[in-house]
Amino acid sequence: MKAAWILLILLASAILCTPVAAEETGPRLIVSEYRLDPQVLMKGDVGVLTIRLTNTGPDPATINSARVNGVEVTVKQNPYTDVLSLGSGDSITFTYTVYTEAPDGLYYVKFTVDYREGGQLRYAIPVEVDSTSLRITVVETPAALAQGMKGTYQVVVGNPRPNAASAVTVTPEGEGFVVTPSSSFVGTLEPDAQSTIPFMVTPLRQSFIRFRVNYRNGINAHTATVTLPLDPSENRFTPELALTGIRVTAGPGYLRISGNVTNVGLDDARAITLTTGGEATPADPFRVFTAGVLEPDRSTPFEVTFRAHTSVSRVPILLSFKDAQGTTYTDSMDVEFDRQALAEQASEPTRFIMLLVWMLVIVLAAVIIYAWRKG
Amino acid sequence: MAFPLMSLLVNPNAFFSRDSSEWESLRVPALIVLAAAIMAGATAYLTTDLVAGIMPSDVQAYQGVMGIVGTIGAVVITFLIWVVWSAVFFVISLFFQGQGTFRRILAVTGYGYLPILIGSVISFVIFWIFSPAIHVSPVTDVQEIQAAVMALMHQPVMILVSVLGIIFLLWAANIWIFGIRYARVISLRDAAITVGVPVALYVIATVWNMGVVS
Repeated sequence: MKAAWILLILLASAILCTPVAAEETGPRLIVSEYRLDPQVLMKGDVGVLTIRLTNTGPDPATINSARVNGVEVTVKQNPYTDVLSLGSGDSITFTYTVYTEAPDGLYYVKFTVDYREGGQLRYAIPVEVDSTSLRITVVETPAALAQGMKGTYQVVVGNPRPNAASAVTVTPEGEGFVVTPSSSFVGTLEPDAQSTIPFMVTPLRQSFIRFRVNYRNGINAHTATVTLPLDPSENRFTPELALTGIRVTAGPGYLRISGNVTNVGLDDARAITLTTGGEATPADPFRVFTAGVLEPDRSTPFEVTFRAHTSVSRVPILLSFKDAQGTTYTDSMDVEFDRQALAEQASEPTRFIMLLVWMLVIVLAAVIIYAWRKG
Repeated sequence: MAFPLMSLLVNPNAFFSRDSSEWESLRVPALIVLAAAIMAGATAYLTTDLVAGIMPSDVQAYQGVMGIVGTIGAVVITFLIWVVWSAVFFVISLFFQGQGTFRRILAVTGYGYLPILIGSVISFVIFWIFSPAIHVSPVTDVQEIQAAVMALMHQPVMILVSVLGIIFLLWAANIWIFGIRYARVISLRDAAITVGVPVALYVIATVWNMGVVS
């Protein structure tokens, strides 16, 4: 009797452990199609499992319920518990919401249909879990990171996942810099595809910049980031002006500083203005010297004129210029001169005036001779 | 009848040989001297600005007052010099039995200020252009003031202004000679001596002060 019980248990176990497959116990129903969206889940994702059941038999079939069960991949709800009738050749679609917290791997969920007349249809559906995220990489940075100087960052977003990622967007984050564009939309990224996005970044101070890629796997939002330090050094590529060949001369009623202004920097200098400051008062004819673009290693002659109190023997030349980004730079350079020597030069009558004096003498002589002859 | 300006400047003999009633009035000469005095005042204001720069810093605080005093002083002194020149001519011409009144000499001397007025305008323009570039340093010792003023007077523009002053004074002397001749009824030679001697002394003194002769 005990042996009979053991035989019965073994028989029942054999029946329960039968491989998952369509089993013809009455009506001939088959799983004609199933689909999981997204095709590959990531840990924590919710997926939509759609199963199509078709009656391939000559007779109608009636089912009591259809459900999905799983261990690593669970079903959030089994809504199909009512009696359904399926005519010969007809199909019906069941939709389930599945969820997983499982690590990467291939798992199965079990689709079970209960016939009204007794018996079941059981079907195993594979579900792949792969939590590999999109890769975001900065492949190119500016050769020199300088404060206030715009540089290009080339950001590459790649999809190493087995399925497509949708709504891919790359956004730079952080403070202490100005960036354009503020965000870039890539769209759908197919498996093993990549997209390169350039960002123009102008660092304003020492900080960090984070490039964030946001994307969707089905209906699930995911993100990945890459962070880079922004440590701008002193801008080596700025224009820098130097004044050479300074010469101070005196004109009628003013002093003149002339020389050459040279761009000894590594970038174009624009909107250059020179004038005198301090105790000097800019005076006509050249109150301010202006120049347009001055390329590196190029120079141009300049001339500024001013008046100053007789005790002043040093005046600053004020320089102002801009770089290509519009950043304004200012500088000054003191110029010393021998005021006494200049004063004598300044008050030295010009040749024109001396000519007038001599003409005056001649006219006077003529007048006197004429007057005495008449007298 | 329009004022015979060119006749006065170029042919003073013709100007003063007319009836004495046409030129012995003091109205026109006084206006000429007044104009010359105003120009002298303006030039003095610019000069005071320079001289103030020489003074010690505590004295420089009175630069504005000094300018006004200098201007008024220059105007008054111009009129005084007009009278002094006339007096000198009057006294010297006494040696040549001059007969005209002092009032007539005043009129003649006043007319002679016309070239001086022209010279004052030219000198003012030159001085106004060049004076801002003249260098003066404040003195720390009062005893240095004279040396500093002398240095200022030796500036090229100051010498130029002095030279112009001499040229136009000679022009004025030419007018004065013919004027004195008719005002005092003396010969041309005596008039030339009457005017030439003091004017020559004045020119010599001026050149001496310029340091050309030393």
